[in-house]
Amino acid sequence: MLQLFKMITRLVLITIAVSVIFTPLYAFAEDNISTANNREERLTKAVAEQQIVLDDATKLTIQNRCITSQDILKGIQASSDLLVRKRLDLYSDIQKELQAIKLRMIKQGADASETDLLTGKLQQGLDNFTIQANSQGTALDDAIGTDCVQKPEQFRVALLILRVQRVKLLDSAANLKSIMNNSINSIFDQLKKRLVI
Amino acid sequence: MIDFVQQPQLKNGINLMYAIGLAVVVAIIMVFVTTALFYKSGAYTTVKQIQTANQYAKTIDKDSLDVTSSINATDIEKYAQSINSRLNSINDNADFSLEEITDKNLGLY
Repeated sequence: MLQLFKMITRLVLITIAVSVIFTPLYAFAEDNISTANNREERLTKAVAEQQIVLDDATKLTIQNRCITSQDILKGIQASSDLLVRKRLDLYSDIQKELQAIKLRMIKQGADASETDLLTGKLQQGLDNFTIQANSQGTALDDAIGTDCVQKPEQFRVALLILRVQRVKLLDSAANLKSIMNNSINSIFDQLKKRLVI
Repeated sequence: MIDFVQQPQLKNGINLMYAIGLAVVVAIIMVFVTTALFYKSGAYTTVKQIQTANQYAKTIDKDSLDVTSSINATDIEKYAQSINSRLNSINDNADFSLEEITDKNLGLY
């Protein structure tokens, strides 16, 4: 009886150990998305983190000129939205066209599975690009919406964040283009060969 | 604590439960190592890309696409050229330039 009890205990312990090992980590992962949607709270936190301290001359310059800067940023926001939309449309169209090519080739009995790979890569790139575009949009909103005359430090930190987001957006856009440039010849050459045969 | 029942022993004197336990631990380590290697490999990346493509394929409206007409190598060649020209029409460095948001361009300098 005792032996049976020991055996069951060991089995239970092994089962618990296996469950712990294979439990997905994300089940316990904290949500990294900041809940601080409030602009004021976000920028105050950023000023503290970045340790932004402005001298009187810089503060005065920002206070005198920031309204004009915000107007310029509004124009940049409008053009940036259009440029982001243009890329989303372009790469989404390419994905659809690749899908159509695949189905047309399948109908003729030719394999076109390479297009799946490219479609997947593009989708991953587009997801990342969308995230970066949203982040840049938030940074632009913050820079435009902050009371820069009363809080020049917040305006300064909003610009710093905007520049960081801009670089990330550029990287993401360049990544999308390089996905296409790197794949275009290899994939289409394969497809052409199959259609010639 | 006294064992009232004798523990099962293998011929060479090794306790059977310990042998099974050791085998299970070794198996867990092997599964863990191979899973980690797979996640770090290019094969996993490819699988994820194909999986993403399949998910995407489910979302598109096929009625809006020409999926029935025949296709040949010339069509593919023309399509590749059209993609090239469309890609060349966009300039990421110019469109998302940092220059646009410098202090100077924002009138702060």
